[in-house]
Amino acid sequence: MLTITIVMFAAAALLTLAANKRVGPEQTRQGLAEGLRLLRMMGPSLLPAFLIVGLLDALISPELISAWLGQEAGLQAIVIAIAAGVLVAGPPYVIFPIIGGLFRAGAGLGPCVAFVTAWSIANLSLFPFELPLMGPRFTALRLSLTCLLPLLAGLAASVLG
Amino acid sequence: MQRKTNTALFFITAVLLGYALWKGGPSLAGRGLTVGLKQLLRVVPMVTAAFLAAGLMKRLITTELINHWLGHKAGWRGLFIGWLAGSLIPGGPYVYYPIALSLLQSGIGMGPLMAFVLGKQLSSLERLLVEFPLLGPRLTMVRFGLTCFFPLLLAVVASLIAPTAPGLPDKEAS
Repeated sequence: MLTITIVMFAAAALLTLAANKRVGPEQTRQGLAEGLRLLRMMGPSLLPAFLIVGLLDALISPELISAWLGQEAGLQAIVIAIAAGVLVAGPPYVIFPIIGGLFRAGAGLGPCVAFVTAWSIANLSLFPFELPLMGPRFTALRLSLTCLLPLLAGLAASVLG
Repeated sequence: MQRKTNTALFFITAVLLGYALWKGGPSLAGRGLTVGLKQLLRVVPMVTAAFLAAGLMKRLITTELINHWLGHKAGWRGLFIGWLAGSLIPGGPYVYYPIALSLLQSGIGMGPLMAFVLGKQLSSLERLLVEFPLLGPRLTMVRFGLTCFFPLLLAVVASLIAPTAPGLPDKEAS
């Protein structure tokens, strides 16, 4: 975890240097201020999101998670995860802590990868933007191209995990 | 929107807290809250770095830049640049779908357009910054590794099935 923190701060520092060179110090300062503004805006959601993670951890036994979403639960767990990924709407900084918590508590790699993939390409909250802007033809083509991806990625991750 | 999300989240927290108190008393509830707070404290520095990086990316990768990159690129170059642009552009669906529409109106092909949208959804750098601290490195790397090349691959398929972009939504088509 410490390594990731260091890498991420290094990435932010590199981006600061790049922005300073490309768009100047004023825009760079505005970019950093925008980042802090985002943090202030999203930060308050992180507190309850992580309290939910902790409480679920205390309430749900690892056996129950394994039985429903564990590696042994196989295809059933992946299908449940895909359905949840399509249906459960919410910003990434709320959804991801909960998935990360379930993964640490015994949910399988396959179902977790299937959830995130389904959530990324087919979450219901995407369609109010995609349908009116891009039209039904593009949406249908995009969905038919990607519809098997959550299942395939989930199965492949199950093999790895 | 943000306030509604927070209200809903605190409501769920309160319900779970009540259930934990009823089921296992203060010790179980306290254990849950401690686990949650500990994990939150661990990710706060990473999330801070992620948001700073996201703010800077917004200044570096602008809509004009994306439009300029994708201007009149065709063939493999167009597909690759579409994928790259989608993977780099920050912001949610309320940002990238309007950009996709403007690309569509400027006459981009189906392949680069699909590469752009799927690149945003499956291989986004900004998402990677959030996934690392919140999902953990293993889950993030497996998810990214398994799906990051699909935008390019599926865009090739899309350009074979429907080489021209779909045109404008029905209401605007003549």
